Amino acid sequence: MSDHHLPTDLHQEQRLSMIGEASPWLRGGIQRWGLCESLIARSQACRYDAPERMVLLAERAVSVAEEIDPMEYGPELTADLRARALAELANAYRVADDYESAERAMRSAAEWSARGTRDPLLLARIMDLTASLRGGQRRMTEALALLDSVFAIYASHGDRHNAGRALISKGVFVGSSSDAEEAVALLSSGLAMIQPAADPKLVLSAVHNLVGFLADCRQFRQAQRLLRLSRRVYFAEGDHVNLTKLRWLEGRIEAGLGRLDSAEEAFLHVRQELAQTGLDYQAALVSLDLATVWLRQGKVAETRSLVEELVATFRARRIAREAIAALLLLKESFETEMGTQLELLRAVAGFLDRARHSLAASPR
Amino acid sequence: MSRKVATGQRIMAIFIVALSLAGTVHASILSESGSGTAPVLQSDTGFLGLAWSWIEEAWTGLTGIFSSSTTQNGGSVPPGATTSGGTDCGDTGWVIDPNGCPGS
Repeated sequence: MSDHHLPTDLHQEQRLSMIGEASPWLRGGIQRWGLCESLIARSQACRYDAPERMVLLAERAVSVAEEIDPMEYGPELTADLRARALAELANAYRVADDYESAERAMRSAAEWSARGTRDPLLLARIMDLTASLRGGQRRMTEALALLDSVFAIYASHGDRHNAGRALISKGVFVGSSSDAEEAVALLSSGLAMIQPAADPKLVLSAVHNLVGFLADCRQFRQAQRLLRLSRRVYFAEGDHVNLTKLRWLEGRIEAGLGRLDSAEEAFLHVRQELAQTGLDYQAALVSLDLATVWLRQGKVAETRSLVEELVATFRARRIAREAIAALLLLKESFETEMGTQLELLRAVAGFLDRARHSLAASPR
Repeated sequence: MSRKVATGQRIMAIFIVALSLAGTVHASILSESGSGTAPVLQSDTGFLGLAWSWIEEAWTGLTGIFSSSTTQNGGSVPPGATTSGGTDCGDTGWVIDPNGCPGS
């Protein structure tokens, strides 16, 4: 039964519940297994634009998996399904920014998987999702080690697409650890291996990250050309937040090419969009890019005001002391009219890069 | 379906050009040794052969990750304690994780 045939005035949870329980034939094991897999797939489809729905669908998948009688398919296969559903739920919690629940769910997934068939492909999927969790927690060493294992499993299985996907994920985390050149290499390699038609959103992710890290390598012209070629992919596959991130990259490229007015316009737009979406930390990161442009434009008063705002935001988020110290120094430099603001702002950005590891030790 | 194929072909064409622009395509992926956590896999190694013992270790390692969590700086965090939450996709904010992005 699809949810299109359900009354529209029901709470979403009631609708999802009715999908699983409306008819007697849906109580059967085979149907429940298929329903669980369907819910997992639908949850995954929400990973960029609907985090709450993603969690809801994944929670339902876990419930359905728990209702399956272990004697129907054997305890090991049933344990595998529970592990899968829990791992997807953990990922959904991560996307919804609930890291505590994500950690708990992923731990349960690992525990259930230990009682299962030890299917290496299930291991690869759980490791892949755990890598994203660890990456989000700034535990990059673990994330990269997990992705190496994911790559090895898929490569040995002859699954080039998913092996390529692992390289793309690895490129994201390597780049986020300040090795942009290696990130470009990994992303390019991954792109060469995947089947674009099978997963256009993966293509979008890979291209977007490749453009961004090319800009980090100061290869702004290459980044711009690639962005122009890929624009159709963004509009075909991107949601609101990803399109905002596209604009962010455009701003960074414009700034790199010296087109400061265009860069300013882009950063202002992105900052507003992110703030309206409630992504305050990301809005603060754009503000750093904006402040750099403003300084280059000689807009000292505006930059000073923005720096004060950033100090408050970073303090509230317990961002690395070094970054806050640099921002305070920057703030002071405005008061004493020191001429080193641009260098200081770059130092802040650099501190954030290097301070990534210390962020992992700071509770939220 | 044909529309999906046509879109896929268009995307593929974009990326053939993109890869030539990026100029960093690696040909011998399967012969890379990676970070040392996985065995070097030759193209003719059976999936049920050399990999099995390594896969067993990998399963053990996966459950081990959650039995005792450590912070990036080496301090240990008791199981069940809150580990640091991420605030965005990586620290850059603009990256897109293939598994989805927090805060989207």
